[in-house]
Formats: sequence, C-alpha cells, structure tokens
Amino acid sequence: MKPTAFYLAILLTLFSGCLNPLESNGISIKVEFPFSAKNVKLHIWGEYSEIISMTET
Amino acid sequence: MDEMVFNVSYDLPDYSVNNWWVAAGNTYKGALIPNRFDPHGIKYAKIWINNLPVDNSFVVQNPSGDGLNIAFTIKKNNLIVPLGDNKETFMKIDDRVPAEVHHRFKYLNTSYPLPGDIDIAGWMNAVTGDCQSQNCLIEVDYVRLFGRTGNQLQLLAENEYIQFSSENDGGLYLRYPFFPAGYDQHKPMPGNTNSGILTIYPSQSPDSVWHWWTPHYQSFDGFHFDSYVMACKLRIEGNVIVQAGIDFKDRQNVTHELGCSDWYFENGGTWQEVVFDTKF
Repeated sequence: MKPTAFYLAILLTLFSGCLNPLESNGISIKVEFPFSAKNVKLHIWGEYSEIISMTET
Repeated sequence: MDEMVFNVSYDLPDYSVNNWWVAAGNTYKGALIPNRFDPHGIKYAKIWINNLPVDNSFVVQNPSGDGLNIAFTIKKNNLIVPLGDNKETFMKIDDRVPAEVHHRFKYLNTSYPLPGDIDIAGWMNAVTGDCQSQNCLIEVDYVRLFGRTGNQLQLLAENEYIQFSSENDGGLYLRYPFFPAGYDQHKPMPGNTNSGILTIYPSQSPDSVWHWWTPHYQSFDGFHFDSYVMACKLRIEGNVIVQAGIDFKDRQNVTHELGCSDWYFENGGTWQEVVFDTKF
C-alpha cells in the first residue's frame, strides 16, 4: 500500500485572541497513514483548544 | 512553551469508518469482560513533530480515561521531548503487540452464544512484528475446539493437518485497517503440510493478518456448554505473534465473536500451546 501523507494546513485560525501554539512556536506536525484517510483533523487540547484541518500532499 | 496536547482524527469512507483517532485504545464494559481500558498507542499512522518521529513514549491518557492523546514539550534547541508538566497520566504500552490489533489482551463477551447461534469455530491470528524484513515461520501441530460441561471437555472440532486447504482452512486478511467490520475480502493463506505439521511463513505477507481456523461445528439446537476452549499447538521462529479466539454464527451467517486470548510470543523456537479458555 502506498502511504498517504498529510501536512498541517498553513493558515491557522486564532482562538479567543490567543496565538496558536503551533504558529507561535514554529511547530510542524506531519502524519502519514498506510491507507487513504480523509477529513484529517488536528485537535489541540487545553488552553489553546483548536481543531485544524490537515492538508494532503 | 509549556506543553502541547493533541490528537488527530480521520475518516476511512472506503470502510464506512468515521472519526477514528491516531492515538487510541479500546474500552471494555457491559458484556465485555474484564472491564478495563486497553491503550493501543499510536495506531496506523506515523507522526513527526518538526521532522522528529513520535513514538508511544509521548502517549498519555485523556481526561475522561477512555482514550489517549499525545503530549510534548519543545525545548529551546528545537528538541521535542515527551510530556510536559506531567499533569497527564503516561500510558505504558507493550510495543511487542502492534497497535492496530483489536484486542491486546484476553477478553470474553458474555452475551454469546445467542439462542439463534448454530455454528462455532475456533480461530488463530498471526501478525509479524516491527522487523518485517526478518524471515519468520510458524509450524502448527493442531487446532482443537472444545465445549466444557462441568470439568468434562468435549472435542467439537479439530484439524491435525494431514491436509491443509489454503482456501478453506485459512486466509490472508486486511491488516491496515485491521479486520474492518463488514469487510471480508481475503486471499488464500499459503501453507504446506508434512507429517501432520502445517508450516506457514507470515513474513511472506507482513501487511496481512494470517488467519486460520478449526472446522466448523454446527448445533441446530443452539449451544449449551458451560464454557469453551480453543487450543493450538505451534512453534514460532522469528518476530511474529499469535492469538486464539472463538466465533459463533447464526443462520444468517452473522458472526458473534465470543472472545480471544492474550497474544503469545516466540519462545526460543520451542513448541507451545496457545489457548483461549472462556472459563475465567
């Protein structure tokens, strides 16, 4: 099976005026699946609660 | 930055799956015993943070206790380290068992058999470990399925492997995702017999679950034993793990999984009996 890679979307929505922790710290998250996953979302919990769609490359 | 806690959700429309989580586990409750939460770890996906791979040392229990998350702190030198302020509970996971398997430990569904069940069979699963380039083999002496009344065992079905049918006695099933519900497509399981020993080579297809079973035993009056036992005598060479289980089926051929055993590991290439006994 050919792995399918997803990368974090470039544009991040700010939540409640807080600077998104990924954006402010220059963090990139990459996820690779062994199958064709759809509707991939990154969920950040805690003070900076956020749901971010991830883009396929 | 103090700490970041996250998880990733996704859908697999090809298998009618919605909202699966990359860091995940399985909760046993109700008819599934014993009650517990089994952390599976990071399932299926590979994750990198700033191009650094993330493993199960980053996995923590979620606040509700029925799932997992991934927690990390990033240091000034861009180093990613697990956890942060240790508010979360670190989940220790046995990495010898691949995260994708449905059941990491023995469980029993006390709802089964149902009154309409007419068929029972014992089964075995084998999957290769992480070192998939390594050759591995399993020699199988027998599979035996018993029903128990009191302390008396009654043999219901067995295969001594004088012969083996790649089409009818086993199959290669989907591993990624692992046995998705309602998806039964599989390939014949290659194997050869010699003097009553079946030999299979799971490293020939590491992306498959190697699945073989006893002959089916049918009872059109239903099943009324106190408990059931599935046993398989086998010998492992290489990085492969095995598990035993039992299924019932009703007249519509709907499967009801009674439960399965713990996973068994290579033990120096000696013969061992893999057993699922529903008598806890």
